[in-house]
Amino acid sequence: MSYFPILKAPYCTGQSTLYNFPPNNWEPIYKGSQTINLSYSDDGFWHSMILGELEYGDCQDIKHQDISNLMPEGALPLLSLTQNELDKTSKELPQVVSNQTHVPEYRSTLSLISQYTTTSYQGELNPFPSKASLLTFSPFLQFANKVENFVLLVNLEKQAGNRKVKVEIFDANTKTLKCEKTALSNNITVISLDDCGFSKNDLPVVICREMAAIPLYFSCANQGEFLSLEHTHPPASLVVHGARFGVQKYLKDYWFSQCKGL
Amino acid sequence: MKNFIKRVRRAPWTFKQPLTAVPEDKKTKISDLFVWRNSDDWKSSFELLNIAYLFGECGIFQVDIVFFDAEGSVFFEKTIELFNGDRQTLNISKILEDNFKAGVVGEFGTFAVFHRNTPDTVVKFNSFVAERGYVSYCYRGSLLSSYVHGNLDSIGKIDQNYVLLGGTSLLKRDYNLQYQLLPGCECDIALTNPCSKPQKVTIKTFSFNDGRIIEVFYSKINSRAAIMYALKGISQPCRISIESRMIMARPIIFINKGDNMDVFHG
Repeated sequence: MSYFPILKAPYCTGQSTLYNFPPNNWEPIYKGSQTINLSYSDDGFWHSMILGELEYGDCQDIKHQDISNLMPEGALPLLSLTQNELDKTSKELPQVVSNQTHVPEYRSTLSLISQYTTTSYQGELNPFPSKASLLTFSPFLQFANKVENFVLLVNLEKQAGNRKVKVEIFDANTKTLKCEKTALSNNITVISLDDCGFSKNDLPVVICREMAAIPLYFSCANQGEFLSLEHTHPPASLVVHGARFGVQKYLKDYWFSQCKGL
Repeated sequence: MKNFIKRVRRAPWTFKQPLTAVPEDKKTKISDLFVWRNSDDWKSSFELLNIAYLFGECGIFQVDIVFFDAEGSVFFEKTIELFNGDRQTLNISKILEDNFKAGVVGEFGTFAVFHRNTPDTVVKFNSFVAERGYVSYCYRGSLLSSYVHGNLDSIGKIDQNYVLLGGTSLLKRDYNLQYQLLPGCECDIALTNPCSKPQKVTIKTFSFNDGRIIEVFYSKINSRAAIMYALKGISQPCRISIESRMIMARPIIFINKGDNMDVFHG
């Protein structure tokens, strides 16, 4: 049951492209027209509405400006492609009956578009457990005149509302705290990394002890003339086979104990 | 009963066809097959992380980096000492400078990065260290590079031998890229072969307007090698589909428009 967010970042507008065809030919899926929905969290509830239909085999671009007047400013727009009708209002994130594949997973194209160019990644968003956490090592910062670096923390949880949580950014070598920010659940939090005092040989460690998120690293030059976007792996991806999530727990325990916040 | 029928129906696609084989030898080091590009327009770098350090181990740690040409033959190997906790960006175009000057390799190929040390924790959890790191590509000297992460555990190294870990399928499979290619852009599609034998691939381009096939590209990829298919002159919205016996023929897509470039995994 995946949702597809519309991203936001400085100098850019977001656009997501939904596809009503499968990414492979061997995992069975529903081959028919599906409903395009918009969901968002506001006032402690999830709100959903129908945006249209998407024929089998087709795709649909949905820009932020297409839906901005349908929801409160600042809320995270979540698209979904479903065979079921979503509850108009609910306390919990609506269950979506949608096509699901595993090798690979169903994706949409999540784009950021400036007046000059576009950057994107193939993504989807599933709700994180509210007790989860985030640990990520980022070697993506770029340094040059008029280059800016951000981390976009994308979170989705079942429970509506926007929890405010602390995000700590450390240097991996010295394990010293470089800066402290806040992030919101059920939202995209844009955090500038340029005021944390990193140099090009530093490896930033981003830690959020109270919330999980997809960490997207976004760099732009000359106010959007050039763009770069990619996410880092979760710590479990440092290994393959075996008890990967045992490994992930070990890494989180180790780094959370080594990196002391304020 | 319903689940049983479902499983039987899926068996021709799943029975003994893992995405990534489990190496027999526990000491095997694993890496993705990353794509390097080098030309007047393209330069590549790799962000190296000290995995042992991230697990809290102390000492001097090294990686073996091995480069394959577009046919899958090894043409350069190097051992690199890792920094502890600092960022370490490898300028691949510079590392391979002499090879490029000598004209012994073309404009793209693959490479793998094997960490010599397996942290105790990884052994304890019956896992293998896997390098799935981040390649950056710089197009036409742009102010910014674009990153793409590895995500296929393709190749293992045990002592001086390589073992390919990609599974193959009994039946041909389609990988349908969920991406809309638009007129005005050019697209390079890179695909690696993580299997032990050469693989035939067919890349079809379909129109979004009427579903018809616009272009078909046939190729064979040697083990450990890559192909780079340039899709130019896109005149209508379209999508691509890759047919092969690889379990997941996931490509890397380079979209070029003017002096700008975007790169991502399928």
